[in-house]
Amino acid sequence: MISRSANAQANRIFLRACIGTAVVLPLLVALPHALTIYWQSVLVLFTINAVLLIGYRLITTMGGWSFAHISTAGLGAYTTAILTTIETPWSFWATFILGALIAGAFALLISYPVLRTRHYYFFLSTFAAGEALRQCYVQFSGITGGTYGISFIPRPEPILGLDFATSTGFYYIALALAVLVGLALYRFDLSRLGRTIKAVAANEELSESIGINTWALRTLPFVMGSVVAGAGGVLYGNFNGAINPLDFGTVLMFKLVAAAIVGGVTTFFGPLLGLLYLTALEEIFRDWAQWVPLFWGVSVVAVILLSEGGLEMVAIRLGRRARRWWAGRANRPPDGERTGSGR
Amino acid sequence: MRNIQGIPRLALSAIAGAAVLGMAVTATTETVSAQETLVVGAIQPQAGDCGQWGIPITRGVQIWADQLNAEGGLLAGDGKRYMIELKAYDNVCYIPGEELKAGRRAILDDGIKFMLQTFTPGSRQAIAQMTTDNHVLTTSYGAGYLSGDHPYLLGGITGSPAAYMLIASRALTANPDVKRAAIITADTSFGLAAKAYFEAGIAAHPDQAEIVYNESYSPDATKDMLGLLTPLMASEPDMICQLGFVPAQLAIMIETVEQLGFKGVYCAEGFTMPQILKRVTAEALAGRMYSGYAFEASEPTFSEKGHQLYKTYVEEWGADQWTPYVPIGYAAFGTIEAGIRLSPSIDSEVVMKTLLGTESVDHPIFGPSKWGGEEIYGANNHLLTPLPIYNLGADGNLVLDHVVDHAAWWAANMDVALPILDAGGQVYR
Repeated sequence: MISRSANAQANRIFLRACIGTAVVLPLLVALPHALTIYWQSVLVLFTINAVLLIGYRLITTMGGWSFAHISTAGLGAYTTAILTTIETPWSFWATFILGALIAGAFALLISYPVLRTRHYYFFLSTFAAGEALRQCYVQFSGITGGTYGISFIPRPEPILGLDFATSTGFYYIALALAVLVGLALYRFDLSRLGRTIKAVAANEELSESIGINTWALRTLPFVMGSVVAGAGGVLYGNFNGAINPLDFGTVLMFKLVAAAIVGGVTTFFGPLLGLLYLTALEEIFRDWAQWVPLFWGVSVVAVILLSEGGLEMVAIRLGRRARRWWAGRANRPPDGERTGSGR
Repeated sequence: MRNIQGIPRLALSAIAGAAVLGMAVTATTETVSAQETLVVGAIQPQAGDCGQWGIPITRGVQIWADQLNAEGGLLAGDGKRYMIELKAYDNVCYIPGEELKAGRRAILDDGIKFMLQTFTPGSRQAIAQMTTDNHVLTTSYGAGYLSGDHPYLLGGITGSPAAYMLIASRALTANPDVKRAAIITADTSFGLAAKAYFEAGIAAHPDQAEIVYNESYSPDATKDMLGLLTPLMASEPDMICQLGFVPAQLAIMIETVEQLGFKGVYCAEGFTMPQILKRVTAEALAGRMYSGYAFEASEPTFSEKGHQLYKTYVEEWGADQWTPYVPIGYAAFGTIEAGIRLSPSIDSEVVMKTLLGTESVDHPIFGPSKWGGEEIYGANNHLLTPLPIYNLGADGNLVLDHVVDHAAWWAANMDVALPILDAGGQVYR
């Protein structure tokens, strides 16, 4: 009974999210047309990073902060780069699916050793796994191009008359993926399974004691999040047209982790707020590149000290205050009456 | 705890955010734009370890611009003078993805039409199509990657990686007793290019020397210099050719191998002597350090104009801050300067066609130089400037050892060198 009620409530919340997305979507579709070609490219990369971050947040729900996410995304990027530049090139769309699946398969493969660890051991073991994978990109140079990487990766071939060679066209692929993955994972987050995963993360021993297969419930989000990373990686490699092992190193990984910390991971929009904030910092201070890491660092420390839970909590509190203020305003008696009562 | 010293945390968060964004807004309003000003770009690392390369390179380009501006601007072939404004862009540490991000900022947002970038092949390839599509004439301190499909990419001077081949060859010619060569390079795109070119330079002396050690290292491994260099020293080399250590690391590397008993010669693109001489005496190293990249501006005899660069730099930043990387961007922009002086218009397409259509470019530092590169890149877009090679004097100053005629060396040794470059993945025809 409780479960059915919770499910109905989840459906209602999800429906509201779908309606919200439907309202915002036309704006997002129109957005690139209001931007210069440079800002279109920033928008595309932001959207791809958002996809990577949505996948990353799913992994954090099982209680661990992976540091292999970007290396795993590299599997998707290398899949599309290799297969679309060989003598008989594959279709981008085929590599898109394959890249995501390969990333998922890799996550499944490493899940056995790395998911035996907890807390900072998990962080370290995923870091090691990620670095090992990145070294494979360097060492298997016959396939990956080694440290030279792979260049001149072709853009996706048109479908249904849609041209993806331009930044705007490519943005629609990234946006479609972000919306689909976002809604799917949001529904998953609200589902009984999603809530159970978070409950396992909160107390694994207790969950195990009541017969929950905690192993499976830690592996599932790890693999699902990695599939999303692989899909994001395909887009990243294809949009840039050139990939290199260094692209999948700590620079981008730190950006994702920082976005998750600054934004918070309790809600779905938290990491995206963090990403928006860090991207804005990067762009605003781009002429003072040496200061950007400092601002990132200060932001992370400031959020930890000043706003526990990240920007999402600031946004939630502001939202509550705005609602209270609005409610107070609506309930306020007319001026004359108020004066009278004041006496 | 909800409050810090009575101030609500929410308010503090808002204040901190507003302060950061406020600073940013103030900063972005400083953009300069003026008529008759030519804005040029330089993509280089601006922070971190690689900033030890990128920051001096950027400063060198700034001095190039300042010198021209002091003359009233660059006198172009259209008869007008143009003041030069430099904008620097960060590629983190020659990471191709970051090069692309910086290139987008420079080209797509700031409309830069003349630009400097690294020779790192992966990074050159990353922005090759964008420079072609947007007609951005992009010079570098060397070639790295060039292509007939991307005519806007230039090898502005001999520079890297070709210089590695010429330095190794010169060191062997000058030291007939050297028989055992060791090559140690970073396992990066630029490091592996250097590796192939060092091999090619040594191969030009088949009867003299053999390569006894030839390994690449991860830049992360440089924290343990003794561990990194012990296997190298076990091969008992009498020449060490290296690329990839940033100046501070190179000083430690030299100190380490000296302590391990190395008495042979060193080959490198450049030695940052102020840092090295804090660790090893000039007497111990004199006559053993071969280097050459663009030109060593601290040495007064090769180029008077170039030496002025050194004086200006030292005046502004101090002699301790001098590195051999300062002149390389300066020299690479000299090629674009020569093109703009020749071209009837400062339109980048016209400048490109004028430059590549000129048989002998009168480079402001190197003088008349011819285009080459066809055999390696399939396009003659590499300006083969003479390469001055330096050695260390007993007084701790670098002295001019020899000037290599790049084109003549290549003509004499191409048959041996080209297959080795091909095997090292450096031939892009």
